Amino acid sequence: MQRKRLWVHSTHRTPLSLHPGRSLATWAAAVAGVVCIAAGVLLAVGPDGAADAGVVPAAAAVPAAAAVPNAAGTVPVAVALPDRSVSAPVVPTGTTPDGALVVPDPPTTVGWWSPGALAGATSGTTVLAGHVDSAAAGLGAFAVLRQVGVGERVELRGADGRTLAYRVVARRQLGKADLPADLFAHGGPPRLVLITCAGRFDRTTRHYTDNVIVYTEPA
Amino acid sequence: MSVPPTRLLLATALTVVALLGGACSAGQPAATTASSGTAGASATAGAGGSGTGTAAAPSGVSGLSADQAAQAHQAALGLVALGGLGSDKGTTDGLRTLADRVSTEGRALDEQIRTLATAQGLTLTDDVSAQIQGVLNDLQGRSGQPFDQAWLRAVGDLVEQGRAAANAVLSSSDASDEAKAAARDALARLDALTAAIRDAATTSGAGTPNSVNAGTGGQAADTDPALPAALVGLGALLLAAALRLRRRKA
Repeated sequence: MQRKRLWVHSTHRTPLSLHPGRSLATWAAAVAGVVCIAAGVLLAVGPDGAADAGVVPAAAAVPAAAAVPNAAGTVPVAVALPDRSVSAPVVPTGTTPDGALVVPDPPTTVGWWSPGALAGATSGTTVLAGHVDSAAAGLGAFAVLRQVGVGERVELRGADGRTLAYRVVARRQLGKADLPADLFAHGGPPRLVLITCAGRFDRTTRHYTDNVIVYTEPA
Repeated sequence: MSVPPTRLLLATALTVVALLGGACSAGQPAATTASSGTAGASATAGAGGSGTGTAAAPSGVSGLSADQAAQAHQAALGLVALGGLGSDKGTTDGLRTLADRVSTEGRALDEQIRTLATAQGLTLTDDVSAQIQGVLNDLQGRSGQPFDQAWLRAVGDLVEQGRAAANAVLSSSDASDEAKAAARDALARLDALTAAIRDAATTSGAGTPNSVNAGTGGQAADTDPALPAALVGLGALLLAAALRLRRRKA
């Protein structure tokens, strides 16, 4: 009798006390599973990385000595991407002895590789480089380069007061070892090139794996 | 690193002979006009060395075209002009000293070419080419370190142009032994100048970059590719668990 009572007790209590909990766990597991799968899919196909776009304009196609700037340009002092509500001061910069392009420390400031072409020169590549982010100050002015699209406008303001307009014609994401040497060659059609970092981040070296290069031509 | 003036002049003269030797051939009035880097490609400014040219080579042929002679002359004019500009606007003693050296070499080469060209009826322009004028205009728009950096690259390009002319003589089957010796000597001097320019470029930050490191935070990093797969796998496990619970409940 005692045994039967226990059985009855058990079978009568189960629907009332355990099923609601099990039902809740079932729903929680189902929802969590769907959320995890959705997040994984979004991460896999989301906006990570900069998909290549557009056609890269030609660089110097003639010997350097015969393809030099043939008109005075101006030293760039500011850059703006109006479609992205981004603007930043520009300062001259150069190359370290071990061959790295010097990028200004404040991520909100952009460097102009001053051995290259002036802004507004009728030939040659004007090169700007800016941080995508920094450990101390967060995202940089050029973080938007990973999403910039063909046709977007870029403006350079020169030291002489001129504003020079360019249009994005191509964007490439390349491993750092594949940085095109022709970015820094003399001559060729006038173009403005914007460079920053992208790809995965190595927390040991504190470097990114890739560069994003945005090519523009005079508008 | 500096070259004795006598050796410099001798080497320069030999180089000029190599460039314009064809015009020196006896009884061959040179009708060639080499001007502003656009001289007619049909004309040839030969060398071969006076009286020492190979029998197979046509009189007045050194393997160097009028275009190449004009190009070498333009390089000389450009070196003189750039040297003067560097002496005026350079921001460091080292760069100004290098600019003086560039001027000296360019001037010596220019004078020798002019002397020989005049004697042989060749006409060389007094003006620098549009390309070199463009370089000068560009440099005039700069000051400070950006000037130094761009100046070093411009001079490096012109010296490279001179090296190309010397290498053209060396690779020419028509060039005489004397011409090739002169070209080798000129090449050695230009190599020394190139090394000095390269050192100065490295010091002043004008070297060609081989990397751009523009991010130290990691906030903009791409997702590790393993993470999406892990999330999808976890989600599948959770859904399977939910299904199992539902079946047990039923």
